[in-house]
Amino acid sequence: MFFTCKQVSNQLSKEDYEKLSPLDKFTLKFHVWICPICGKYNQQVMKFQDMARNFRLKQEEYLESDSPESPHLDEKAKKRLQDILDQDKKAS
Amino acid sequence: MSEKEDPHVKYETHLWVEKYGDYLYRFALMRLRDPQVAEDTVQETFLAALKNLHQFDGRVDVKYWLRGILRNKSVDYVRKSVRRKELQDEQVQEVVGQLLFKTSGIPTTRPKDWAFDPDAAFAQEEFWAAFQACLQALPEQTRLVFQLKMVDEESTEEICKEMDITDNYLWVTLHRARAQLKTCLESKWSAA
Repeated sequence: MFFTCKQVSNQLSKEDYEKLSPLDKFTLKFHVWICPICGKYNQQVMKFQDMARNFRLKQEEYLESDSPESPHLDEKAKKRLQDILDQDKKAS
Repeated sequence: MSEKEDPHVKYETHLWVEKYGDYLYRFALMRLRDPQVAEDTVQETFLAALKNLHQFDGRVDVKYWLRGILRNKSVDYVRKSVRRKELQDEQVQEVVGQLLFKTSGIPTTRPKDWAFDPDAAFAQEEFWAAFQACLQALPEQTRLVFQLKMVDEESTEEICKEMDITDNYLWVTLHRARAQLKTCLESKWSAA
């Protein structure tokens, strides 16, 4: 089976790779190997995947940060939320 | 109900603001960008959690349970907001998807090299601040699709179902997100 560049980029982006038959996997890999455009596109998709995974770790640090510079709820908002929790507890 | 059985006591609801308030607010800000919307969504999350507290089995940490509710509320908000504001944009994106390739399936443009070395940039803290700023600058739905698919690595099927989009639309959105992020990072990082 022959893949066009559009089909290759679709397969790479949609992560349909695992659903392909062994022959199609080989054909796809071969296309990416010989085609400079798809090869570069594949590299960039992989680099973004790498970037997103690294960012996930940074995101956790950011969410957990107790630095005063990190965004936080203001006192008014905290009080409003606390009132909701306290009232619910009282009513239970 | 005895104190031992009361889930309010068991899961320390009176401490949620102190323990998880800022964590959830930052999570909401990353998803929704607008501080007021983020604050309101945290409030909705607490209300939904209190309503369903008796169903919570404690198998996951309360923090991650609350974060899961907030994640769903954020997806709901963006889906409704996009339906209101960006319907025309969706049609445009489908067209953009068609234009990336000629009918023969050959790309119309060749991907350009990075203007900086991404691997070297990953090691620097400032790069991640630039990345976050670029991510925040993406249109609402594009940003959320990128976060759910690329950062959280959720399944295509689940995202499409929740956001009520087709997988082709998701693919085009991701392609667009990568292109916009690359341009933004190159201007912010290469110029730094």
